[in-house]
Amino acid sequence: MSSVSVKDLSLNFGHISVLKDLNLDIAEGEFLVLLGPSGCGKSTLLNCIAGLLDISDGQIFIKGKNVTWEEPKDRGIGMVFQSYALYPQMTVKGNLTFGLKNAGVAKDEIERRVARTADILQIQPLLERKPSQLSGGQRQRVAIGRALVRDVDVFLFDEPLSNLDAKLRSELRVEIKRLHQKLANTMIYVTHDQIEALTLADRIAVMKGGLIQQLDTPHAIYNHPVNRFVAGFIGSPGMNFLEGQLETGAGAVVKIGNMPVPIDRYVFSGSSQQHTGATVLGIRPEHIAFGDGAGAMPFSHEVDIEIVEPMGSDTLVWTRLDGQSLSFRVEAERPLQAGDRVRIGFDPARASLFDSATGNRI
Amino acid sequence: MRYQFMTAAFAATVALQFTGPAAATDLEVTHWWTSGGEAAAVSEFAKAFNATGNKWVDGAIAGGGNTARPVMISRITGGDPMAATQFNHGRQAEELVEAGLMRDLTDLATKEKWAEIVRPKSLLDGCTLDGKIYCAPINIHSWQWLWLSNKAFEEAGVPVPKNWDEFVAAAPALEKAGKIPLAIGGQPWQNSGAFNVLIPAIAGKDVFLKVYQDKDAEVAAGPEIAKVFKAADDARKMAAKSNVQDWNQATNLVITGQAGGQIMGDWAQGEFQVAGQVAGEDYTCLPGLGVNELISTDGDAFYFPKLDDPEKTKAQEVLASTMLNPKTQVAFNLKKGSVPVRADVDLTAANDCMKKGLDILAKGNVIPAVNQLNTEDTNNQLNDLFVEFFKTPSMTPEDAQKRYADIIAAAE
Amino acid sequence: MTTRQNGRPSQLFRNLNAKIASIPMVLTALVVFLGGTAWTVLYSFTSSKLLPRLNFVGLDQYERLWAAPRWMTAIENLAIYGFLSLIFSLVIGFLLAALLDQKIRFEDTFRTIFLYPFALSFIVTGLIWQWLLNPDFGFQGVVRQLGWESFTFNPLYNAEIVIYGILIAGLWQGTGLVMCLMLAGLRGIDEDIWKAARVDGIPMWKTYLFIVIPMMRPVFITTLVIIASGIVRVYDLVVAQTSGGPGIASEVPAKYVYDYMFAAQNLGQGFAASTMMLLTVAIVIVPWAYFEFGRRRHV
Repeated sequence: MSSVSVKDLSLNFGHISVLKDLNLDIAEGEFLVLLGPSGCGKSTLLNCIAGLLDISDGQIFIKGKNVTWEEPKDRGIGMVFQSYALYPQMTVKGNLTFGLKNAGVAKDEIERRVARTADILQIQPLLERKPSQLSGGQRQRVAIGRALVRDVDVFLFDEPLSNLDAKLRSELRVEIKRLHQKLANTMIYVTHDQIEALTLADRIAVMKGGLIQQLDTPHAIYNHPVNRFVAGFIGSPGMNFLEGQLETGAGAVVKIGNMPVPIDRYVFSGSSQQHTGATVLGIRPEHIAFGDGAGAMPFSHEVDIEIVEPMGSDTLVWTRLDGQSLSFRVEAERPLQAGDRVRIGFDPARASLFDSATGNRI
Repeated sequence: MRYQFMTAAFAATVALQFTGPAAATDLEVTHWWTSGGEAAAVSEFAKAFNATGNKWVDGAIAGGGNTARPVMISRITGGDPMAATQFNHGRQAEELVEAGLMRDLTDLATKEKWAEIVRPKSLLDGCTLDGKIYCAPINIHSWQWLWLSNKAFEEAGVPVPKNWDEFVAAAPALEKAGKIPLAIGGQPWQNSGAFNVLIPAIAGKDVFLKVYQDKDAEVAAGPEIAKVFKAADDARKMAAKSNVQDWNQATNLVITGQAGGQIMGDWAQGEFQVAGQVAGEDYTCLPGLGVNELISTDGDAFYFPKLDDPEKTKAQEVLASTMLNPKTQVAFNLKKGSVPVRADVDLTAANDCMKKGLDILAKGNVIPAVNQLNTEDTNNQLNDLFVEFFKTPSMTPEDAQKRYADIIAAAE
Repeated sequence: MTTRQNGRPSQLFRNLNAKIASIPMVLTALVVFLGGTAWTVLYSFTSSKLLPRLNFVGLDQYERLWAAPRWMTAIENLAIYGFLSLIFSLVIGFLLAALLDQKIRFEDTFRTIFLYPFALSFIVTGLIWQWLLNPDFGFQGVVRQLGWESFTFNPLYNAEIVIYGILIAGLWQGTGLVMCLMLAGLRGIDEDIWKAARVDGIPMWKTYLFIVIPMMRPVFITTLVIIASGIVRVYDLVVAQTSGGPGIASEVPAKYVYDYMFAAQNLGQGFAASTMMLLTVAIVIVPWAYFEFGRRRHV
């Protein structure tokens, strides 16, 4: 039985359709990330699951129970917000216990839960302080704590790390992963940061325009993106896209300009869409071989280096293939300069082909 | 030759313009005469002054004397004086005169022989400080009148009372007929005014003078005044349902027959006149409440603040003179319901009630106005006391008398 | 002069433009406010009548003031009016704001309607409510005409409860502004707080009471100050609605001051009364100021 199940969920604001016929099944203990750019509907979907927004059509199930019309407090969820939303006039302890006291939970049970939560999140020394006396990271831990004390099955996170600086973000990211490993609750996590998605998720739902573009493991999304949008959204530095022409037949190639790229090793997605013609070939910078290794690749070519970007751990090199921009990664030690002529190559099996018109994977 | 003649003739006509009556000066005159009757009366002054070639700029201030006087005083002390302003006979402008803010009219008064024509002399005395005259008294009003609606008593089925006691006796019948026995407005001065009228009517002239002239606190606490307070208590009960604010609204209750009577000064006549009612037929007037026929010499006088402009200063004299001239006196006073300050005028047009007043004046049965005897401060304290007394049924006449005696004791 | 030994400009001449620009206001505050107040207090110890005179009479004016029934009534009325006005304004204003904050339709229309009375002067307000509360053609008259013969609602002619009639008019006029201030304060509350409380299962009223209102403390204080200043000043409302009547039942201190200074031509008494008003305000403000600003500030 899935932990959270969304069936045919639609949400309209007046004439505007924000979410369209969404279907989602989340297994117990799964960490699902809703990923997408601003305005794609991920936060909206989360709020619908939480019960903070009334949906126009469809159903929501949590642990088998139909909660479509239930109040948030009856759905068995805990929620963590981007702005922490701690009650500013209460101490940390007050924040943790206010909801419990209101629900009539016994005093010793409250104490037990607070102790347990404080222990897990390492916030014991902060219990008597007020939110204004805490740092950003501490506040976020308290916010997570407030959800934890509720003793629920499903945790909802609405971009919890977006307000923190980069260093703190990576620290807390690890902590959340650790927390998930320890508690093994179902967690639904909304973010626009694809690094968070890749590192935390069991599965990612990439959203755009109110629809789920791809629901898959991070590995599958990274290596087999289902359309051009997903391909470009995941991965940093981003995937290279080269416009070309697909020619099927005995020696199927994608002609990029005049260069034929043999794609006999490429695994087609098997979709029935008829198509010949304008194609986009996507290849990630880290999948492009360079120098000696390039020659061994099914496709290789000589290119002139335009720009060299040292990034510390490695270097990003920009060049052009058939006039189209292309970037690839090399070790940081390689002495390369703009103007150098080098040989690069790649294995089309690792590439992704997309229809120019629809953007879907071929 | 011809041109010379033409030029001379032209020049002559031009010169004539400037030698005619003095260039028309605008004089701003402030007063608080805003009821129907009062407005009709003051327009007589305006007409007369405009006929002298000058212009009367009217500065009426609504709300009665208590609202208007602070405005007038503020302007004078603030350095933006009007050309002429009304005050009542008495001590209302005392400090302004002492401070030298009012102009001296002694020369004009001597020229026009005011000392001989103004009667009674006490009116001019109220205008005099250190032998100099600072105001022009323009009428005599008396407070001591009871106005009764003939229609109300007819509808109540009782004869029109001839004195205060009969009026009190008729009150139950009036109430049964759905009438308000005694109409009094909410403004404090009306309540203390009514009380002050009851004093000479019930306790007599001597007691009145002892209390207000001599400020004798023992008499104020004594048995004669206690009787007055009892009468005031009766009045209070009769006025319990009286729900209006302004004095003329109360008069209107009498005019329309909704109320039996009102204790008010003879300026109420103006209202009866404007309503087209006839003395003796539609309404009855009882001077001295029909008990002791005494009338006070209240009334109004015009003061003239010192001005810098010499043209306006000259015009002030024209205005003062106009106000006292016989024709104007008659025209104004007939409409106002008051008695002219000069005896040498033709008053055959006066109505019944006014004639009664003139009679009493001629016999010399006058008492000075309360305003001439008390400072504004004392009057204000009396206003406070009586407005509270009339509106608070739980306040006993004894308690009220005690406070009354205290006020008199502290009065200057 | 303007530079110290090490060449740095002295504190006094920093920001010179701003200091020069603020001279008029500083002068106004010193001369008009402080100076005027000091002058009034000084002359309250004299026997000035129509014009100010320096004949000192010690505490005579104050003795007379506190013996005057009219002053005692005025103080009593101010206390009742002030206390109730404060409480009801805040409560009703907050309730209206909370209702308007529910993202209802026509919010702008409702807000305008509630705020309209505030655009009226106290004189107009007083007059309107004098007519509305008139027993013959106001509420009482209309309801009686509709059939309920024994309906009585005549506060303005009853000395015991006339101050409540004035209270109604004052609340009608001022609650709109309180509502707008509260609404602005409510809008400043982070949306996520509401969501968090909802997820926690806290009922609406508890959310308002324990979470939102404590967060709105600055707004409440500002509103309190605004309401309080309106209360102490109440004068024109009384004049227009009841002229202090019936009798002296609806007297207020500001009216006492005005009447004695101008109508009674007794400046000394008026000054004594207004000094007492200043004292009352000071007694309330000084401890509060110390409480707010005097303690060591911790957030």
